[in-house]
Amino acid sequence: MLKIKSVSKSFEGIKAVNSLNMILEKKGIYGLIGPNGSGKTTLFNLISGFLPIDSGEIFYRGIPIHEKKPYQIYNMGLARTFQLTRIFPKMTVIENMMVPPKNQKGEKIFNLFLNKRKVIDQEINIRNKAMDLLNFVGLFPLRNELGKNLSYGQQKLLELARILMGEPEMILLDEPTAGVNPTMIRNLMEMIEKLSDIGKSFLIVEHNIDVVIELCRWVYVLDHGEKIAEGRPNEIKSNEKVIEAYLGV
Amino acid sequence: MTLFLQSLVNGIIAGSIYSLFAVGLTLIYGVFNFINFAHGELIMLGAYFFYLFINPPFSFIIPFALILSLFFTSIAGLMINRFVYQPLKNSSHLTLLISTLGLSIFLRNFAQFIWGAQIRDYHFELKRGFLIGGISITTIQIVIILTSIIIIFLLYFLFSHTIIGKSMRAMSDSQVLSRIVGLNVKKITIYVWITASSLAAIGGILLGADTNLQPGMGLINLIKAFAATLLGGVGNIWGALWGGFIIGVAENLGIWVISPGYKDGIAFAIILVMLLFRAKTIFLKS
Amino acid sequence: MDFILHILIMISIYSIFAMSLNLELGYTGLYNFGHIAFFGIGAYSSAILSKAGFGFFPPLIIGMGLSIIASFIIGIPALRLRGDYFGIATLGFGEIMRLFFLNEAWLTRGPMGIPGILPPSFFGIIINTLPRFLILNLIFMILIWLFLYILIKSPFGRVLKAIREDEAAALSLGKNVYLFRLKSLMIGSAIAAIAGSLWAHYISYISPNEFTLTETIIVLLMVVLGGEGTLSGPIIGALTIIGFQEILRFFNLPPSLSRYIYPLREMVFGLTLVLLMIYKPQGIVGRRKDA
Repeated sequence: MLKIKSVSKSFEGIKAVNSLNMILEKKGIYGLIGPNGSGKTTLFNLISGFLPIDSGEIFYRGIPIHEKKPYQIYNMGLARTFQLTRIFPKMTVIENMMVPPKNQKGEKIFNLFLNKRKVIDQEINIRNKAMDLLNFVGLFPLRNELGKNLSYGQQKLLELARILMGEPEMILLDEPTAGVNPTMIRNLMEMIEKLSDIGKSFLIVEHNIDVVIELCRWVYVLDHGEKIAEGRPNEIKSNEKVIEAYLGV
Repeated sequence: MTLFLQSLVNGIIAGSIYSLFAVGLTLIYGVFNFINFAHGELIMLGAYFFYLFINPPFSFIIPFALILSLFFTSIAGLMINRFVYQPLKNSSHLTLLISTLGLSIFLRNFAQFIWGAQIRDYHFELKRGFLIGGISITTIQIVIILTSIIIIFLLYFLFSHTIIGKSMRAMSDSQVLSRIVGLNVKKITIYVWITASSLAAIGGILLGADTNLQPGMGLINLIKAFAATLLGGVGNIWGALWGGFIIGVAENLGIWVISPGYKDGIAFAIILVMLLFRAKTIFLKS
Repeated sequence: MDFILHILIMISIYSIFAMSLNLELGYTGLYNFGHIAFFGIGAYSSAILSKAGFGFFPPLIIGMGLSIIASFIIGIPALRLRGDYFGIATLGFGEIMRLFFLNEAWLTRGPMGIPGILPPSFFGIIINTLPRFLILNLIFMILIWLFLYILIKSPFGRVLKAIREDEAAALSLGKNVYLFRLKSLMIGSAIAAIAGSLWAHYISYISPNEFTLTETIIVLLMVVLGGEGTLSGPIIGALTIIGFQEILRFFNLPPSLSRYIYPLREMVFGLTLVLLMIYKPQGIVGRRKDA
């Protein structure tokens, strides 16, 4: 599904990602861990088109995406969230939700005036779907609230729900549980599992090892831009190289 | 061939004035990270102050009038710093740009209010010209070239060998670090504005002597200064010097290729090309 | 009475112009400092073509078309630039356009300008009285306002808002930010052309001097003063500025004093812009950015 082939990226001479290889073939929940500065977020930025790669290739469903722009990659079914939530602060929750769906006729000016019926119908459909998703994540009561008035945990939920509006098949989650209270963490984990059950795949950057162990079927470990290990969560937990990397020895 | 050389010489003369403008602009841009659209008006004010002091009721001798002009233009620059830049220094680039646009209109019309819209002249005898090897050049133009050479040396000395100059360069690298290292940012800020304003004033006076004065003279020269700044690299003082000369020469050679009516447009075209060639993308990645 | 009609007509024309800049600046975050160029294209198209006998609407449409093409040409490269550099690039474009109007005398009569532009006439109606002009302008103004209202409240407007709030997030959600900005620029330029056309017909004489950076800054002032990114802001801004400008004209001063009025007025505009930026960037109608 997602293939990362010998991808490298340097910043001013320092290799942030060094000839990385990762192949995520089957559906499921994958983990990406590593000490701070190991290149995890950089990798997300490379995959999602926010940063250009220096060398290598990235494929999604067999199609090269390393030269595509972020909006094209989202529309192919590969979505991402950000470390610090990026919801639209002065738009309501429901407005936030209605931005992502693809092929909105109302985004083309022609249609606004010549195809009004279809635009309105589509809006109604999108709104209904948004309400359903908000229900799923438990944000329905807050649907008319401005984004900036949500608590941090609620913003994380919104970000997740919002991404789902575009019906992605694979979602890159950047530290979904960072800064979030334990109840919400449990909440998020349940949601991720439910979504996985219905066929969505995840690649999750996480610092919370417990979350990784419980959720992920396979884990990649990065250190200084290189993959130092990959395997099932339990194997990784006791991997010497991994322990060394985290202890900074 | 003579015509070509003549254009080249004209270009170098114009370029030396543009260099003065550009260094001032790039200094402000490099240290404070904003494009001072009112820089053109500092040029204009310098020229007008000089006009004020060499004419009745003052009728001062040239050197004294010169010093006074530099002094008052620097005051104007410091006031821009105090009343426009300082209150807005943490705002977006756009807010600052718009404010300086408003300021530019204010100052331009202030000059028109006081001195009227008509074209004025210093009436120097020095506009007499001579022929050197077939190239015609006026005394004023020789003065211009000599002045810019002197100033280039002074600038070199200032920035490489004085503490003030080196502090200004440090600040243009990083204000935060400069503060940490113990540099008196407030004091250096003042010096930067005085330097930039003085350069603008000298350039304005030279320009006025070579051509004439009118309230709108600032804007078109700001554009040329900005083009030179872009060519030389933002914040790069030596680059701005080169840039100024390149613009001057490009303009004067360019009119052989395109209609003279578009001469002022050459600087614009260079701006467009430079901006697009370096294409800084709008969005900064998360 | 005529004077009041004149003020209202000017307000209506500038409202349209300000609304077009507001779409670009307030709603899409594009600081188009060369916006006067599109106004000028509309004005010159109408002036030249209507005098050549093409009536009122065809020159208007052609002017809009030319404006759209021009905005496309400058937009494609300039939209890759950061906000303030985009401002400078468009400013440069505006000035080059002015030089074009000034130099291509075979087309525009250069510095002499184009006099004697006839009042609009179509379907047998001739707009040759002030009340008729006002009604024509008001119809345009209302139609354009409605158009913008629909646009802003639509999914298209929603994406614009998202882009304004967080461009990277909008990109990550599948929106082609660049294309939306380009479309906004093209629509804004077309509307500016309409304003230019109406103005040319009303003033009946145009020259390149009227299409300078100063004019763009005055419209910018209207947009910012009224409140950028609001639907009524540009109209309020136009009302205030034009009101101020024309009322000054009302005091028929002796010629010796009148030469002071123009620069003084412009000084007020410049100062207002600076003060607005410092103290109340959201304008009259707008809300504070962090409210």
